[in-house]
Amino acid sequence: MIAERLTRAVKLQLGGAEWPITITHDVLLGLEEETGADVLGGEIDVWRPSASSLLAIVWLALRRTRRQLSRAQAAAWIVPVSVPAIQAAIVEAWAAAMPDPDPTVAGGSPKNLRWAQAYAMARVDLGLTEGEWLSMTPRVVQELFRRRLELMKREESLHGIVPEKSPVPSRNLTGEDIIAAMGGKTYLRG
Amino acid sequence: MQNSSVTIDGTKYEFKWDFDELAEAEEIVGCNLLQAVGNLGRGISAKELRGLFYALLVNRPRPALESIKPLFRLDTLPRIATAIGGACMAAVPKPAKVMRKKS
Repeated sequence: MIAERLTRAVKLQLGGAEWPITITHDVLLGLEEETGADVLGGEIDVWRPSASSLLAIVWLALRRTRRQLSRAQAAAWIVPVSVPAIQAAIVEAWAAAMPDPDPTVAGGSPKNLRWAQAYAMARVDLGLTEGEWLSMTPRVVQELFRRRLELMKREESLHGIVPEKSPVPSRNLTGEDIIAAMGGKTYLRG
Repeated sequence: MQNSSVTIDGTKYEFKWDFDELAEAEEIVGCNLLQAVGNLGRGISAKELRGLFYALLVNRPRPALESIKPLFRLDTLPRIATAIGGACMAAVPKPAKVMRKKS
């Protein structure tokens, strides 16, 4: 999957196996559905997660590798001694998946972005399919937006070059100037 | 995984580590039970201890949260904390025995 290949790999040992942990849009949406927390509003505390948040993140992230994995099975693998390692993996995976703070926005992150808006931007502005967007991390989508903005700026600067090189009259043009530019003839006079 | 228990006023209460139950109970007990587990033995609050009691309780039908409140008294608190701590410790996997060949 592209998200794992473009994001720093975070591995978690659980249930006798090693699992890649990647926080994609699919995981984040599932987390909101599972916990009822406003994920985009920052209601998930990855440093001090609740048991329900931790279980939801682990289950949803592991399910990307094994679709049939049940929530109860994931829960059965979580024992007190494994909790610190799980927490550390979640924090690392979260940091790897989230966009860099935006220096142009106060506080570093855009406010009031809702899931519908994020989805619409990905579909309309970037032309991503639903599956592509769900399997990407917010950081990868941010990179795609950056690239698109660069292309837009380049196009704007190209359009700006044409008028810059055109001769700019030093005074307002009169009707006589225009007639002179046309070789002293007007279509009215023939 | 062994259960741990405490007997209060003639009733035996059994506890067993179950992370699914822990996660499910958080909304009912109104506190972060993962933090509660971390606070066991180092300043756990009464609300957290009661939350763990409720979440890890094996007895069925599970008594309502309100009905277990009177169980938490000065004489019972240490025993309850020990039983719940025992349930958490029992979930820790035992190290695999190393079989040595006799030479």
